[in-house]
Amino acid sequence: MFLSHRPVVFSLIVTLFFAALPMRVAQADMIDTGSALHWQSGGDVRAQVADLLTRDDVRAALLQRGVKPEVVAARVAALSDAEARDLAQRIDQMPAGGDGIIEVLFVVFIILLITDILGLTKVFPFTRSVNHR
Amino acid sequence: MSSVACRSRLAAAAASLWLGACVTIHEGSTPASRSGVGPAAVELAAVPFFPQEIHACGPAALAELLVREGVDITPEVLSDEVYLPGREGTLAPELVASVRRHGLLPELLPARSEAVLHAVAQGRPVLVLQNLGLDMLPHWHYAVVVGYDLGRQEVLLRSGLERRQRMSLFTFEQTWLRGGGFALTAVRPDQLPLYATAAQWLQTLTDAHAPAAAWERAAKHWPGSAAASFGLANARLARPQPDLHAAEQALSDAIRDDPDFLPAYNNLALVLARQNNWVEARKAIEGGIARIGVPPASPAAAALLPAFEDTRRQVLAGRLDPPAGAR
Repeated sequence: MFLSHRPVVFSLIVTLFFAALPMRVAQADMIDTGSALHWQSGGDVRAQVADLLTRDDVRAALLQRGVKPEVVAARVAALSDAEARDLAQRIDQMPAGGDGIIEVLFVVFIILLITDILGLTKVFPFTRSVNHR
Repeated sequence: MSSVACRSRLAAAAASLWLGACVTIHEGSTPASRSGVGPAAVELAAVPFFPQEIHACGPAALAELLVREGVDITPEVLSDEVYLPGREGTLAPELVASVRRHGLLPELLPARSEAVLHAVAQGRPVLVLQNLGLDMLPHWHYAVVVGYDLGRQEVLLRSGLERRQRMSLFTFEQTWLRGGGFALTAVRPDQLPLYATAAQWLQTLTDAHAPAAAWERAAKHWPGSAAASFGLANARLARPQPDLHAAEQALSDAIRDDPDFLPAYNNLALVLARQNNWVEARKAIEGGIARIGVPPASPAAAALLPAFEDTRRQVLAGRLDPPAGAR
């Protein structure tokens, strides 16, 4: 993981570890709510450092998948830490709702026709399931 | 038994086995479990409809949810927030994030159809992810549940090019649970969630940088939650005109309700100091440091010590450092 990041990220880690910054602070050293909840749930500082790296990964992944550069920063910023981690780990595995066209072979067509009629699926607009009164 | 009948029975068994391998049949809700969801039939006719462009069911469904709550937005604009060209679709976490970007609070419902129907009965349309195809041949689709009819056993969806798609409850449950049971509602800051626990909702408010009104609602709903009072205090301080006195009150409540919610001591000291109440500020931060203990009672407590000592230094000096950004 470290190999894929530039030295700037590395120096960021070093800074965050040694600059005695155990909490993200908002103003005049107030502890922000996110840090307090993180603290309460027993999370440690390293997780927050890792989250910064995660966002870097997500940004690169979004750009690589065609998100316009001028909107990518806002999209990454909008994610919660948990969402950013989820995206970083599963961006190509999680379902992308978008009605991709199924490449239908004849056999598959028959299966889907049957399952549509049984009401298990709803692929074809012209089917009406048997259990639908 | 004739061999023909035997063979046909075998064929039927083979066919059902083969079908079974292709499609999982999910156990749906029962009429009894659905009886408490609300009225027998509901339709949220005011939910707008945006017929979707190709691959754009995500932005269209999201726009239906947001416009319903008064956000002025179109699916085209939302595409830049949620559509992922490389996947020709939209990923669920980005839908959740976009709800927050527009000043609303996302609540994910439990994966039970009663929860979806109950939300609709409460006037909250539900954005769902369906796998309209098979596990091995998925066909992912976002739609919005806007109504149901228990008598007819069907739900009503804004879906694709159909403003009022009627789907049997059975097919809805199969396609929705096959899709993982993702169900999203957009909650206004003056509303409470329907199913979220206190911990889940406080995290949602935090992620959304929710206004003080939303925190106030949560603190009232979960009395005795130190985290809710703590968040309320920060939200009161984040206002353009910070309400120091009200924030101080909320932090005192947090400590009263849970003396081990240590971050509250630090913030209480600073809020008192900002009101020039240096004596009480000192009491607060020293009370917090005493709670941390020598040696610290836990690694979590120890992690707070540097911040607490820095606050004590400022309080003893009778002068607060300028905000971090101005240093």
